[in-house]
This record gives sequence, C-alpha cells and structure tokens, in this order.
Amino acid sequence: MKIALLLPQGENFDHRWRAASLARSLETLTAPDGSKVEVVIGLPVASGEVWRNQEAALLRQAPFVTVRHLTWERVQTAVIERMYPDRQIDFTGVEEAVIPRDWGWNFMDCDGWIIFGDCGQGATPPLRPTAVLVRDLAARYVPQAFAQNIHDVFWARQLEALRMWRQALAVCVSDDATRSDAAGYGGIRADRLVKTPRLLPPENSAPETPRKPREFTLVWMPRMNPGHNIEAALEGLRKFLAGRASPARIIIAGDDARRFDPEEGDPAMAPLPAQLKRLAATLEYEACLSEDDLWDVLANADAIWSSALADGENEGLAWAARAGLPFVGMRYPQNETMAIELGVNAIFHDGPGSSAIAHALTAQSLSATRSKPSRCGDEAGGWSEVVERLWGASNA
Amino acid sequence: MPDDVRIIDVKFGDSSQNLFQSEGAVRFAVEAIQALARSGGHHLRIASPVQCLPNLRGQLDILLGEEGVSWSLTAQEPAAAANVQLFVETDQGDTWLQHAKATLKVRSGNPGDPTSRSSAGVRIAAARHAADKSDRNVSVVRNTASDLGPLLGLAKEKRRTPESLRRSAGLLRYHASMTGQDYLGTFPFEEAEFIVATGEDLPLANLVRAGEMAARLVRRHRQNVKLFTFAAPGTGLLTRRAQEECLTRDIIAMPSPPPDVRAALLHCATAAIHPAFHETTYGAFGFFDAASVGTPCLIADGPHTRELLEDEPSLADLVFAPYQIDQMQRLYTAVAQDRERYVNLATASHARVLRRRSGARVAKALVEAAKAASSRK
Repeated sequence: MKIALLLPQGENFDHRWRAASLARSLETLTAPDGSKVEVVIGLPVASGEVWRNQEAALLRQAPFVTVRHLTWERVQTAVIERMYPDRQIDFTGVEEAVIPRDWGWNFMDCDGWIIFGDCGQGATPPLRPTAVLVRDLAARYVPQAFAQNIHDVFWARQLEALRMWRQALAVCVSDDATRSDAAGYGGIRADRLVKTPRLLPPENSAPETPRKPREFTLVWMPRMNPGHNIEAALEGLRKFLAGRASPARIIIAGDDARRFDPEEGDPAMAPLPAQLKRLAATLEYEACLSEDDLWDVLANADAIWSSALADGENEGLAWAARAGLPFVGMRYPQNETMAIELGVNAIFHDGPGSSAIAHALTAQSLSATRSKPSRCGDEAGGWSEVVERLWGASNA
Repeated sequence: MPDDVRIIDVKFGDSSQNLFQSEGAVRFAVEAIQALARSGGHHLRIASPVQCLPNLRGQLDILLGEEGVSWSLTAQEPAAAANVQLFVETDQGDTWLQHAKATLKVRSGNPGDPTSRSSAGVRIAAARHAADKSDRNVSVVRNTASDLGPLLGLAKEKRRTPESLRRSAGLLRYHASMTGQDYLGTFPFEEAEFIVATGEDLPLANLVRAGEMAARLVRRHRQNVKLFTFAAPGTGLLTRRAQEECLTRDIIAMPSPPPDVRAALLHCATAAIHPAFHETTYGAFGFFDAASVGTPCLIADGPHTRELLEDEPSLADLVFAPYQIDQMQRLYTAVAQDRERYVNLATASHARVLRRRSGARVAKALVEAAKAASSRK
C-alpha cells in the first residue's frame, strides 16, 4: 500500500519534520491485506539546491521514503470534474481547487493521500482516498495572522478548504481542543475525526558535548506574524530583562529569525516602538533552516519560549519535549494538554499581556529544571485506523 | 361584532415597514390574524405594503397552512366591503422606546366606506406594560405562548431525540443550500454547540452584546460555540462587529427563515438568548419559540420579562441584566452544563402560559375587543 504525504505550498521546516515523523509511524504499519506501507512525501518545489537540501534532510530522518517534487496547481473545478469523472466530489460553490502535480503520475498512483491541511491554500479535492492532518484552526482565534480583514481572499479559500475536508475519509487531530474546533468551526462530522498521536521532532544526532556554566540562555521561537504576539512579547522580554540582576542571553531561532533584526528592515517591524526596536537589535538571531541547525542552538539553551497565541501543536513545546528543556508560553487548551502529555516542565501565562509574559519568563529563569526528553511521537497509535480507512476506500 | 361577519380585512398600514423591523410586533399581528382565523369560518383578506409582502406571505403560509382558513394577501386594499377591518400599525418617533406598541387598531366601521378609517378604533396592546394608560380605547389582549413544536412534529414533551435532531439538521442544511450559505450547506448542526440569539440587529434588541458574549467565549475562553441570529445582515451593530473582528464563521446570520427552519435551528441549539431591552409583548417570542421546541432561553430583564415573571417566577433563573455581558456568559455556561434542568424549567413554564393563553382565548379576546369597538361607535 502506498500513501502520499502532501505538504502545503510555502511549507517550512516544521512541516518537514512532521512529515518525517509521520512517515516513521506509518512505516511500522501493515495494510489490512498484510502488505507494507510505502510512504511518498510530496515536497513543494523550491529553487534547486534548497529543494535538494530539504530532500536530504527528510531522507536522513526517514531513509525509506520517496521524496517527489510537488506543485499545487490551481485548476477550475469544472476541468477537474472532466479530468476525473469517476470521483464523486461535491464542488458546489467552489470554482477553483488546487491539485497536486509531480511531473509524473501526480500522486494518483498512491492508494491514499494524507494532506497537511492549510486553509489558506483553498480546496484540495480528495481525488484519492484522503485523510487531512489538521494542526489547528488558529484563524478562529487570531484571524489577523491570516487575513487583513473580512474581505481578504483567505476567507473564501478557508471555506473551500473546509468543504473539501468535510468530504475526507478522516480528519486527523492530536488534541481534544483541536478536535472540538474541527467539529464546531470546521464543520467536520464526529465520525470523520480521528485522534492521532502527537508528532515530535527528530532526536539530536550530534554527539552530546558537556555544557559550560554561563548566563541564563533563553531560546525564543517566534514567527513574524500577529499570531506570535510580537509587540507584547518584546515588551514582556524588555520587562523581564529589566527586572534581572544578572544578564541573560536571548536567541531568536527559526527559519525566519533574521526578520526580527531591525537592520534587515522587515516591514512588519516598522510599526514597533523605537524602544522595542532597540531591544530587538541587541538579541541574537539563528536562522534555522534544518533540524540540525536548531539542535545546535538548543544545545546551550536553558529554556524555550513560544509567544504563539494559538499554535495547536506548539512548535516550541514540541522541541522542548524532545530536548527535555523547560518551556514558557501562553495558557490555552492545546498547550496545557500537550505539556502534560509530553511531561514538559512548562510555565504558562494567562492572556497575551506583556506583564504576564515577563512574570512567566522570570519564574522559569529562576526555577528552570530540565525534564526527561520525550521519546514518544513515533508510535503508530491512531494511524492504523487512518490506514484502514484509506485502504478500505482504495480497495472498495 | 354583528353575527353575520364572514369577511375580515386586515390592512398593514404604511408604517408596517417599521413594524417589520420589530419582531415582537409583527409576530403579535400575525398571531392575532391566526387567532381570528381560528375563531370561525371567515375569509381573511390581508393587504400590506408591497415591500412587506414576501415576509408576510412566508409567515402566513406556514401559520395558516394547516388551519383550513380561507385567506388572500395582496398589495391592494380589497374594493368590496368587509364586516370587520383590522388596521395594523406601530407608533413611531424619537420616544418610541416609551410609546412603541404592537397595536392593532380594530375598526368596525361602515363596511361600505373605505374612507371611514378615521373613525374611532380600539387599540389592542399585547401586554400591560405596552398599553397607553391615558388611552381609554386601549384593550390589553396578551399574546399567547407561540408553539413551534408542531412544525417539527415533536412529541408533547418537546424533548430532543436523535431522530428529531437528524431531521432538523437536514432541514437546516437544505435551507442553507437553497439560500446560498455555503458554509452551512454541509454543517453538522446536530453535533455542534451553538446559541441562537432572537431579535433584530437593532440597538434595542441588544444583539450586539450577545455577540460580544460569544466573542469572549470563543476568543478569550477558547470555548467551542457559535452564535446564530435571525437578523438580516446589513449595517447593524452586530454585523459590523462580527465583520471587524472576522468572527463571521462564529457569529452567523440566518435571516428571516421560514418558521419551520426557525424551529429547527432553535431545536438543535444548546440554548437561545433573547437579549432585548424592551419588547411590546408579554414575555418574548424568542423565549416561547425556544421553549416550545425543548430549548432553554436566556432572557434579558425588561418590562416584558417582568410581566412574565409575575406569572412565572421560576423563570428568574434564566434572566440576566441586559448590559451585564459577564453575567450573560456565566448564565449561558450554567445552562450549557446543566441543560436538562433548564429545559424542564422552560418547557413547564411554556406549557402553563399556553394553558392560560391558548390561541382560542386570544381569538375570543380579540373578538370581544371588536364588539366593544362596535358598541362604542
């Protein structure tokens, strides 16, 4: 049985490690007919060397997979209906959809698809037996991270995406709160929702080196969008640093970390108060384009901080679990259950205010104790149910 | 009223457009027509301004459809004489908060003279608090407790069953598809948690604070809930707020649905809320509608609510102060957590009001008022 994992356009490395983690889980399973599960990863096309590096990173984490070039092509639904007349897809109200192209079989040779859900991409019709992996429905809570206003094309795309998800055989979520959002906001029926195991980043492959005594080192993992509460986070950081007797080292890590450097002139930094821009200029930036890059940064960290307001599978928390590091973040249902399930020493602040952030950072800097690195994340768990559904539809 | 009355003309006056923005008033008017229809073998001839025709026809189709009543609805006043005429209008002006009344001017004048509208009529107010005490011609004929249960074929106890939810949700999806609401066309209403706010998107109806409650539940407390309204989307406060905050997937208008769709949405809801500061009716139609399909309804305090509470003090557990959004939210949370208790409270109260104020009794009272008008002429 062959299953394709289709990553969204504009993907970043947190999608890639999730794909590798999922591939490792699927690889341990067998289809109902006893055959092995073969995994194909559709990796969106990037410029030559970048794509090759990403492919190599995926193959290091999951050597058994095949990685194919993926282009999501926008096509009129009337054309799709003519291309695939035997597919019973309800396109009512949907004029355009995106379909996966790979310069070959276009993933139609696979028995099932697991699409990494991205509402901004619009309709992704289930041309093969399809499951959708939903990390969160954060647009419900921080719409400003996705759309300028209610007239933004995002909302039409989101509606089209949700209408396709409702037709998938399974919608996979890793948390009860996300399941709840998928039902009440996404309109997914309860019998389509499947709770699947949490995916975790790869373990550190580099040899462990002894840690040197030094100042408290905090790794902040933001993305440059309003969903990461940038202004309040910087203000909270300023208050935290102002209240400390000893210096602290702050590292911004992530694939767009350099955008936080005021000298880069990112337009998103322009509206910030001058005081916060001056603070940002004193921080360190580590542009992590791969898992190994991030492991290098975490090797000397004392804690991880995420300022995300609604990340359903909090990126910082996932890495904190894998590295056994303490964590600071905002209290919301997914964060709380994830920390408990993965055994992370987490301090949460209530609400997005800067004072609450500063207090939480201070508390964690005073008590930061490492926990045991989590080893879960690669188990097959609920994925067998997904495989059975895909297999059943493929062989019907 | 003469014994040979067989034709009743009902005319919705020029102010009816305003009337149609007041849900309570128009509901009372339609209910009065229904009550009169039930009072004997009359032919009802109804005239209304052309803009109001579709709305009125939709309501009458459903409400009179199974009554075996002979009726017609046009934009023209009938030329031939009728024995009794009802003239429906509402007061207007800056002071309408104090003076707005769902009034039916019942006129029993010379049936052959359509210009005799200026002759003295009887004002019928739907509640004591809405009656102008200085008007010696005013009669209080309280509205009945509306009953949407039969539209869904619900059993007498009004309880939700998997089958009633399935049928109601199917009707809602069909209606959404027919009205171009793509998001709802395949939405699992029977599985989702949601609130229905009744009333129009006007300041007095206070829908905007119900919307604020929903926004807090979703955004601040991360509670999975939606708010539906029957209000026409437009430039109302709630519409604006929902758009500004990109909440249009969680605060959703299903404008002026037919009564059976209204009943279905209320039936599937976790709770309803009637947040209006003021209604011209006895209690609130939102409350009666919801209770009649087995759904508890939170009601804002106001003169209409107090008049109901005089007869139904146990409903105080469902009442909140209309400006207190946190209180509204706490009450909703309590209702959602112990829904069965509040369903029992609401349905028992609804049954009692219905016994006291049956449609037949309302019809009788209206006919009595018409007789009184006739004798005064």
